[in-house]
Amino acid sequence: MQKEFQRLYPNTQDIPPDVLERYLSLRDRQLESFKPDGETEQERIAAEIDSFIAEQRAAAEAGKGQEAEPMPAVFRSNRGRLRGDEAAVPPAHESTEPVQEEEKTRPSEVVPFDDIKEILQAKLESNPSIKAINTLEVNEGDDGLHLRIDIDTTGGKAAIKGLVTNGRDGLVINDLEVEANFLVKSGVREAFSDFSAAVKRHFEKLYGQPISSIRGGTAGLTIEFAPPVTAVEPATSEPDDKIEPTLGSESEPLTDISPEPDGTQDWRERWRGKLRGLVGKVVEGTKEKIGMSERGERLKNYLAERSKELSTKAKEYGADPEKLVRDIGEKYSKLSLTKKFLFGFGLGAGATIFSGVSTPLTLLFVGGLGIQRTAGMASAYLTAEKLLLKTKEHFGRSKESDRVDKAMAAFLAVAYTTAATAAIGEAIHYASESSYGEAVHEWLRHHYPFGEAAVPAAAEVRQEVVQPQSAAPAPAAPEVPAAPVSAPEAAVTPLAEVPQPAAAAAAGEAVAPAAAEAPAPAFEIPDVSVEATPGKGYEYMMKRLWEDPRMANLKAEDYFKPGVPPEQQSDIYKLLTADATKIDTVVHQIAADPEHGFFNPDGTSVRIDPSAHLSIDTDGQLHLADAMHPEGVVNAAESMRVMPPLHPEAPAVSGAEAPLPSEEIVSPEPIQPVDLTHAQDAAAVGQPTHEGSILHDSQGQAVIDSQGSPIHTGTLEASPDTNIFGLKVPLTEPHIYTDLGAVHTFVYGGSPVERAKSILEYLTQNPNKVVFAADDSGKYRIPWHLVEGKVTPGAPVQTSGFFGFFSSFMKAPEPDEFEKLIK
Amino acid sequence: MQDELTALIAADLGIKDLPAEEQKSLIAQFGEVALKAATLAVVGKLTENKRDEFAKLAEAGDAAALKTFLDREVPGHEEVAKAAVAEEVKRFKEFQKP
Repeated sequence: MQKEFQRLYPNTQDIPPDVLERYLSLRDRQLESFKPDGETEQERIAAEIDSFIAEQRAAAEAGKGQEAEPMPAVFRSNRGRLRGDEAAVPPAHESTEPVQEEEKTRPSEVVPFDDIKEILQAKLESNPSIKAINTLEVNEGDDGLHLRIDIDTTGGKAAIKGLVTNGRDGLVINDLEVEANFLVKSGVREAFSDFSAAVKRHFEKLYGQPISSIRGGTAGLTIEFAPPVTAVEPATSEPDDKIEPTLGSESEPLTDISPEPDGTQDWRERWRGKLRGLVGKVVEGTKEKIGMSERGERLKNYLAERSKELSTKAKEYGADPEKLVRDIGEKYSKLSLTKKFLFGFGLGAGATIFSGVSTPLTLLFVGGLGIQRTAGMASAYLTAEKLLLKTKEHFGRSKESDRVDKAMAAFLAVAYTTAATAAIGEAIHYASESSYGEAVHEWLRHHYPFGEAAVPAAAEVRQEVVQPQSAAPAPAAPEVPAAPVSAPEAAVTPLAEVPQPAAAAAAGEAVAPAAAEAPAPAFEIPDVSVEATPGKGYEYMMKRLWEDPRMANLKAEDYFKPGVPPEQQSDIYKLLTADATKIDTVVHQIAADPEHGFFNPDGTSVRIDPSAHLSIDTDGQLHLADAMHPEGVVNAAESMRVMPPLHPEAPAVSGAEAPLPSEEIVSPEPIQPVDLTHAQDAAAVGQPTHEGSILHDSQGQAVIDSQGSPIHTGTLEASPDTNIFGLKVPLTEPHIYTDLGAVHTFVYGGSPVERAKSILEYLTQNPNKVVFAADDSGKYRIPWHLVEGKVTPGAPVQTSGFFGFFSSFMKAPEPDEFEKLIK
Repeated sequence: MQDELTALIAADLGIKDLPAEEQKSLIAQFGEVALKAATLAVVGKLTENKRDEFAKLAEAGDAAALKTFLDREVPGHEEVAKAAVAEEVKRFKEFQKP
């Protein structure tokens, strides 16, 4: 058989795959038949072989009629040995056949595609990041080798798919498809890195000679062989008359059986070529996407190790924190590369450029919200990117300005989904304090939703109430303080129409960006904003928002969140689904939602600053911001005054169910400009100058403060050392105070030494407390802790802002913060 | 511009001389380290009995509750987190020194 086959196919590379497959099948069966009671089977197979050879001969004659060359001797030796027949002594002529030394030393391994599969499988299975190998196929088809790998990793599913075909320099993987997130799963990537080393070992074992290098290239992996340990002599052709299957010599161990179908160099070259291309492209194909330079690999490994170290460190803090940190890793790994990049920017570069890292944001990430926001962040970034391109084209600014712009765009994108107004605020703040202020202002003016309004620097942001455009000139009346606006919709005519201060615009209206230019939120944010009206409350503002004609163009279903209960739908959805008969109930329910921070924990409502704006934020929630709190009124900021309790279950607005009148009641009092000075703030809760200054609500009831005192609109001369709570706060001696609700503890008064002594005394008795005091400069607030019996100051406290953005150093404690004297 | 932005960030992380794709990948990977570092820094400031409470709040994703908790228990938590990330940036850059 072999002789005939060799004549037909002198070059093994010319053997058609299907012919080779049949040949190998016959051979295998023949080998298996060589057993003591297998003669019948041997005869049957021999007949099949004869038939096969005849068929091939006929095909060859019909074709090119090539002259056949002898097959390698290996087939003969297999047959002889496996027959186990003493009679099968090799003929004399065959015993003289030169035995290739290489054949003895070279491991006798078949190199089918399955080997690739096994190597891959072994590597993938050994990788802890890979949970399951669902599919691992390396199949030869008419058009090439088909490669398909589907795996489950700790970071999700991953898939590789490709078609290996012949290329000029070797086999080429075409149409390589690698799932995007697959690329960043380090475990999988490492599996492929290790795979190349395993391939090298495999080939060295296979060929019995060292491989000097395996190089990647555009066409595949090139395997460079080192000089062979033993020279390989070419197979010696056998004379035509030495065609019978032969037995190996007696000295040849039966275990040294070479299972190769032939054993010629041609055969090996053919398979080597295929493997070279296949393996090379598997590795190279992935390397093109995920490969890194040596230094990049080193840094990546460093980060991976550092991540592990941090996870290990988390164990020191207990089971729950450890789980928390572990969850961070797992959830992070599920993000796309783009999202990771943005998050990396927000946390990494943000820390160095803008100090934009946010603990709550970081941790909300764990809870899922961060991921959701991060998703929005990506789209926002892309939009911002486009905007900046336009900006660049428009202004053609300097490199430095570009740098600021780009960083700003990314920052805004990061911040946008968490706190849009705060992002704007941060931009203003940054612009004011950087040498690039003008450039940033210009960018903001033209590319953020301020229209053409000037954007003042943060330093220029101040509370200012200007004369209303439509109001009559104010008479020379005494100045009146800004009327605190209570939640009940007082029937007090606005003291002043408060035009939108630029800063407030920056803070407030940013939430309702111009459709054409704002970063893209998750859904369209209506460009609506309602300014605070003195004498009016939140619900009034909400209703005005609801009545805004621009809201009529919106469809509630566009804001519907599937799977979310009605009560948890966004504010904008609730407003859009409310009709005239329900709007009052709806606005009251929204106002009662504690997440809006419209109320203090004790039920009192926070004061609305005259500069406040109510708008819709990126989450579709109502957002109240003012000049002092551009990040939004959240959780009753410390500087906000409290107003009479308004309990959700007992609507403070009588007749809240009834639609509010569309006409505003004209105030009998002339509209006056308001000077928002500290003394006037104090006047709000101090003694009235005259009874006529009492603020009344729509029912004619006096609006009272948290102490039950009526709120006056007149000015007041307050005692210089008495604060707004009526508490005497001496400047010359230290005392310990708490703020409203006893949330924070302060020391105030006296010299720094005296204050330190007071702090020590207090903390010794209350070791778990923190006392806030002025720093040495007297400007900023620092915390004092008791650490191992020593009073230790902390870093200056920053305002928390909103999700960490728009924070700044808190001012030193001021007397008006103190509600109660502790010591 | 995304590439330019990558370069900008890469400069801050000291990896600007690497190919853009590698920069992006490393920045992405840095995010995880930064997240963990910031979290651990804050956890480390908490007393033992508050750590579990913190972890539960964080996992619950209740922004308001989390913020209130941190404001109360870890004054200056933002600074703590920033310092932790800044420290990681510093470590990362130091690692790159020959």
